[in-house]
Amino acid sequence: MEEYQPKNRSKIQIDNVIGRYPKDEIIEIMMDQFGEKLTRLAYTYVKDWGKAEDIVQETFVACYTKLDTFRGESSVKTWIYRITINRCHDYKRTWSFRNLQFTDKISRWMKGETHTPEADLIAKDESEALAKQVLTLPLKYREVLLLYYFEELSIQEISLMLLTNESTVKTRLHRGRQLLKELISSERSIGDGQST
Amino acid sequence: MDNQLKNLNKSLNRLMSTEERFTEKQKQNIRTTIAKKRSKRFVFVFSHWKPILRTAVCLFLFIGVARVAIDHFSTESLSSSESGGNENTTLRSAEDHNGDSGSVGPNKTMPALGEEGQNDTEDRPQKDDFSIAEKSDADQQTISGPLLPIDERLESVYEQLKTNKDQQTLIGLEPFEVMQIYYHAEQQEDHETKYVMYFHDPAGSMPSKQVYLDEITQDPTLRENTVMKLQQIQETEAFNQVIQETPQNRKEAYITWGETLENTKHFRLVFDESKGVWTVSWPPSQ
Repeated sequence: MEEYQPKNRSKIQIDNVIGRYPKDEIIEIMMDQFGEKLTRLAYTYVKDWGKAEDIVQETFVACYTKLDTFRGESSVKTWIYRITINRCHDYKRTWSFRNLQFTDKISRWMKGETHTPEADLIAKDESEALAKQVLTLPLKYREVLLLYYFEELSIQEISLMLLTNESTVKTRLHRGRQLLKELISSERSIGDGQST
Repeated sequence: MDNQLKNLNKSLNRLMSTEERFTEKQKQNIRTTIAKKRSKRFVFVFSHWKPILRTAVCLFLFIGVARVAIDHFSTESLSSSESGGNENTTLRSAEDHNGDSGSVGPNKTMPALGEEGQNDTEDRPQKDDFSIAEKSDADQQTISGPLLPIDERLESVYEQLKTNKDQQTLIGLEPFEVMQIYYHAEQQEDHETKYVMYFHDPAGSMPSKQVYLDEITQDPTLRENTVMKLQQIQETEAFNQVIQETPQNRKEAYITWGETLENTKHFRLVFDESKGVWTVSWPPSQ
């Protein structure tokens, strides 16, 4: 049995050390392995770095308090991603988030600005233009596309994280790609119209 | 587009931020929050030790009092049952327990008359039952069976009792003879006569005749049990009869039978001094 010995945390198989390593050390390993990815994932949901960092902080604290009840029915990665995604969903459902979105749109309209936070991510090439469009998709399509392409997770992992069927995930991926194509082609046609 | 989607990871990361977003500062914040959370538990215990201690003491006392009360109640319940009426025993349980020494109940160990502490796990009320048998002035005798069928003399008494429903018809009969008539009535499914034979202790909880008859006739399993019980009793060759005065100065008779200690069954009768007859205790057996 593998006993606790401090070592390079990024190489440790986290699933193998749960229950054997001290809780503090497990959280440190989790932070090293998932901290950055989770922050970026949270950002794709809430589009605010401050809030994304808060969500990730809450996620790790929740992991610490619930670590004793983790029964290993899923992988640690699935577990921690699910907590983060749930917290992002919760945040997006809050009155403060909706209010913020609304006042933000109003203030931009008053100022005559048309760009959105997504537009701040200025597309430098086609790939970046695509990435920009992904962030404008409705949440249910955006999250599966991001989890699949950005986080490079399998369909099965995504279905476990979102607690949905694998077929639903596949349908959403397909529909998300279709929407993306429509968005890009309509953008191109607008661009072509402007250039002529 | 598919190729571009495959590169989404790189392009999105580049779009979002090229810097590391999850910094050491973030980690430190998490460590601090966890440390605070952990210390809060101890702080709560230390800052609330008085109410916690008070609650623990109250709980301990409550459990102690409840335990004493339960012990006291069960002892009282037993003594009430000894005096001819058990307030907590329903007609059904009494009938179910007839001839079934394996069943659970306050009088479970009655069959062990004349024999001492067979099992350490037996509870206090059962020990109280033994105390009657342990008295030295017990009038004990062995009676040869069979219990049924009854002879002509007892048959005639039974017929009279059935007709006049008067307990005094039983005057002059020995406890065993009363038991014989009781089981004969049971064999005939004559529950009304059986009811007449019971000791109607004013302090007891003998059910009303209507309740008794309703319950006994509405339960088909009772009949099956009775048939089995009668079959067993007819095969019994010897009965042990003990007549004993209880601490309440009441004359009681215990008739026991059975080959082994575990199989021992008993039947209890009470001497009704006002009528001068042996009557069947309620419930008669377990």
